[in-house]
Amino acid sequence: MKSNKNIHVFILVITILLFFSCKKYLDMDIIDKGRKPVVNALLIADSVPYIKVYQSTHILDNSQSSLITNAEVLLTSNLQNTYTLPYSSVSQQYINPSIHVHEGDKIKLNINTSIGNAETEVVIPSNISIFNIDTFPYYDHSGYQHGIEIKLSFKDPAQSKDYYILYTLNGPNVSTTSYEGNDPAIEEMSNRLFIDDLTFNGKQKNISLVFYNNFDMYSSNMLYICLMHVDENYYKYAYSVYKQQETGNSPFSEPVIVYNNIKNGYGIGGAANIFKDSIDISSILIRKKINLK
Amino acid sequence: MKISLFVIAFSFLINFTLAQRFTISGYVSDVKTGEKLISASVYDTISKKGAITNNYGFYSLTLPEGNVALIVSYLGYSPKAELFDLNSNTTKNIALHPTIELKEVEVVAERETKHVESSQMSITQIPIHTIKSLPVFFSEADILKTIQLLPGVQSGGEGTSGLYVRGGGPDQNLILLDGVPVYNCDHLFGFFSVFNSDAIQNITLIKGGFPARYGGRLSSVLDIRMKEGNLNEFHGTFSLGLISSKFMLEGPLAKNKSSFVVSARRTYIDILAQPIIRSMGNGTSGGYYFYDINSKFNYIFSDTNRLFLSIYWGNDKAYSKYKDKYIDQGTSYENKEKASLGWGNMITAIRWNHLFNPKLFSNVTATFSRYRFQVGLESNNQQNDNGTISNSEYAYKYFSGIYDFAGKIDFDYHPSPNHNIIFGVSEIYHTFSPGVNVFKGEQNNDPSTKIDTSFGNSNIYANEIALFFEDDININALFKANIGIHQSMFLVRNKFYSNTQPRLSLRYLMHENWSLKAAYTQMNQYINLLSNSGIGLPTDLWLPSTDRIKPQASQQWALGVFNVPAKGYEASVELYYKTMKNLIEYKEGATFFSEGESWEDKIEMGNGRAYGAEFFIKKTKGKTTGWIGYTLAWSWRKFENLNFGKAFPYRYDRRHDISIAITHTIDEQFDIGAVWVYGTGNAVSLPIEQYPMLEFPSMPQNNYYTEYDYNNVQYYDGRNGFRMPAYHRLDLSFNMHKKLKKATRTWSIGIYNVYNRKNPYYLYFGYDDQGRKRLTQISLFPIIPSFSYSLTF
Repeated sequence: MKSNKNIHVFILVITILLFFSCKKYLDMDIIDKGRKPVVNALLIADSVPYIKVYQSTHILDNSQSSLITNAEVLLTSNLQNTYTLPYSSVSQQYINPSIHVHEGDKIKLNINTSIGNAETEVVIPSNISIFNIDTFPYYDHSGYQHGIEIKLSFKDPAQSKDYYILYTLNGPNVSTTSYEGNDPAIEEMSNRLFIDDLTFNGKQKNISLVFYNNFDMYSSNMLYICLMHVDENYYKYAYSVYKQQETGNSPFSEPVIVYNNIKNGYGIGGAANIFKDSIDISSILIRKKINLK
Repeated sequence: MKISLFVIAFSFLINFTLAQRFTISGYVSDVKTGEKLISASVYDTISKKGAITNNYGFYSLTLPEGNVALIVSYLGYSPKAELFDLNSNTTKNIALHPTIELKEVEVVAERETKHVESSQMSITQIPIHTIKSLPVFFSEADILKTIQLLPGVQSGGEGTSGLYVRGGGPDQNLILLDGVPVYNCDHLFGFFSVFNSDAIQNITLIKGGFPARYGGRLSSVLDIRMKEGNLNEFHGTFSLGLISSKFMLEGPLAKNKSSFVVSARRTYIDILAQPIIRSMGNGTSGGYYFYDINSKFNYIFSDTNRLFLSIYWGNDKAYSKYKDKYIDQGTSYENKEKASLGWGNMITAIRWNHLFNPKLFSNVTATFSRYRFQVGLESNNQQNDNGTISNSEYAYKYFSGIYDFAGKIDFDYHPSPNHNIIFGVSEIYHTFSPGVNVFKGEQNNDPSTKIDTSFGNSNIYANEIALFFEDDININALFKANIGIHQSMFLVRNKFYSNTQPRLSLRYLMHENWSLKAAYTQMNQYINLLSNSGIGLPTDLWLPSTDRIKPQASQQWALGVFNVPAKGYEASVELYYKTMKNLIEYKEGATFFSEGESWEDKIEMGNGRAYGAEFFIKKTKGKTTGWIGYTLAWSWRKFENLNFGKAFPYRYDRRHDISIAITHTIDEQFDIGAVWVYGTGNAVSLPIEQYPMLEFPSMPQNNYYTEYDYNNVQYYDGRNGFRMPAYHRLDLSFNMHKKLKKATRTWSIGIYNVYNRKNPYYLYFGYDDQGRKRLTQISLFPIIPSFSYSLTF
């Protein structure tokens, strides 16, 4: 219904506007600040750091952004040790398998390229564990099971502003889940819950979400539940970037400006600490209809 | 010597205190129609005291006993002098002749310094005949389009009639039709305003230094008064235009006792466009039309009691129909779909004028107004498989709106020529309907499959109460002030807001033809318009302040110099600085269409500030009249959660805005008009760079998270960081009048956008025929010639 309504309103408006309107290509100058290095780095606790570096393109350029393969990428940990991340032509990123980043590490990234030098800083967040997970079959209004309701709890640290992204994985892909609740600090987008501790700082947070499953379509009996404790930079970036993707270029949507914390460049230097747990869903998914009271 | 001085002073004092004072009061009206004239000047050249008629044409002037030389004047009318001996309270109803009727019959010294002498600044009155003689769009004289030609007032751009006054938003204008707020003033997505010029008598725009009697909006007051109807004889106008026709009829119901005026218009774009739309698709048809009806009745019970009833009713409707019938493998299918989009206002007001005594005039008003927006969708699908018929049908409706019941009582008290006091109280009971969805469906006429449900935002009820008091004080020959206070209260969802808003305007008369004025005002606003910053739609939602959404508030400082440089000219320069708090905007990425989300969750609150200078020169007399206005302005917004907390230019931040409006009467038969406007392009958000996005980490394997970079991020150089091309155009009009036996015939020829400027309406990135990505501009109106034929009898 929603899309129908949108389409019809859109058609009506456009038809009327087209009746009057005319189209013109503008050869006006769009501000060109020159090409800049793009740094895409999400440093995850207890894992190997990897960074992708690109060259940005002008908005009117049809070509894809090209990878920068000859950059000097330096990672400085806690203002003490500086490591070089060499370029791997296999994974097409800068990676140093010999080092890992850990909770609490303060990391500085310097990316020196022929089109400019960019830098950013991140702090690896602490691990926040989900200490309780309950699962229940989830039924729709007509009594058919549509998936699994998952109730989980975690404890938010006091005296700090914390951000989380919660999602589930069934097989390699992020699975279709929806949030069941009305906490204004939680927003669902692209099957992920973006959570700000605004309403529960320092307290236990209980969240209920529904994993939707099309039975024969699910690819694994295992459902991974992932709670990313992320730094503010990555949270702002992920929230804005998915919001921008979601709205597309609709003339009826407000524009979304994507967060950027790369000095002299574009992209994101973010950090996360991912808690992961898994449940076997094969026994919970029962293909039957029940009678609802 | 000292004794002589004392005797003289004492004699003067005795003389002054013992002099009897009497009140002259009455109405100023048009001699032919009996229409009351609003803001006419009544001035005694002996005592140098004067008064201005109120919204009902009433004046009151208390003067010492003795000779009085009244000069009564009004723009577009020949001034009239009255000489008499004042020895008792006197009623003087004065009728003025329109200058077009009199030509050179009598000439008396008209006072031309009203705008210099008044304590009010940032105010403009436009005679309706000026509006009618300026070039028009599709032959439709448009009040809002004319208002947009004044300095400090901007249009939103191509195809909008919203007003953006001194950096404020379109919801910050209190637009009153006979004292009743009008929420949506647009027909045809803003291309026309809802005000039919044939039914309008007077228009007053106030941009700053708001008198205390007005409240509820931050940026301007546009007070539009409808005609009352000719008390003496029947008259009318019939007009046939390119896309619409209209008529107006007025006359006495009982001569000199009661009158009426009725006007109506309707477009016929839907009929004209039908062949084009039908040719665009199989089985598809659609159209658009609007209509509006204005009417007003008044009844004079006596010199002290008078009753008015005003009604406005107007609607816009766009619709499409689709029908499809086919046979596939022996089964026949028939699908029908209908969609509609409609919006409209209804306004009714009943008011009672009562004159308690020559010094105290009262007005009691009861009103109802409604604005409603509606989207409808119906679908009916039927299939016939060898006689087995199955069908499904559903209907969907979305509507939003605002309903107001209001009451007001206000008094004009004129205790002496040095004081003009206005006070009163008003109450509005608002019902906001911020979006309700209704869904109905049924399959195979089976009642068990029937669905009839509604969901969405629930209605919000609110009370808005205002108390006001103002005094227009002649402090001495040089200083004049308007001091007032407006106390507003708003009760919504058990949340009570109360705001005291002081108002002050001060005038210093530097010279007979020069004055310096300053004003300070605080305003509060309890209703908000949530509108899309992309393509403007009537889907804009009117919403109240709530426990979560605080009332908007503003403070405005203004300073101006006013001058009469020569006979028939007025000039002014005004500076202003305005701060605004608790403004609302959609969140980034939010859209009107995102259902299932409360409107309160879609918005952000923030602040704004605007400042600028306005230059205005106007010629009011002679064969050539008109004005030139220039505004240099800045308007900023700052929202904690928009643009990452950094200040950004308001979409309608317009650095330069120039308007030139000229009308020239060649002779009795011909007049011409020209309008040229120029405005800096609107500030919009457009990306300037792009780069791959960092995709979400997927399944970790061996402490290694893979990532993908399928999509691009579009980089904006800040919100509203891009300027559209400048807006400018020239319009011309030519009117030919001919007096027939019992009527006057007018042919009007107009050319809109004479040099075919392609002004921007909307920008987006598209691809040209060679597949290159280009910035693409949608423009609405090229050069458009139009004509109309009208008959006035």
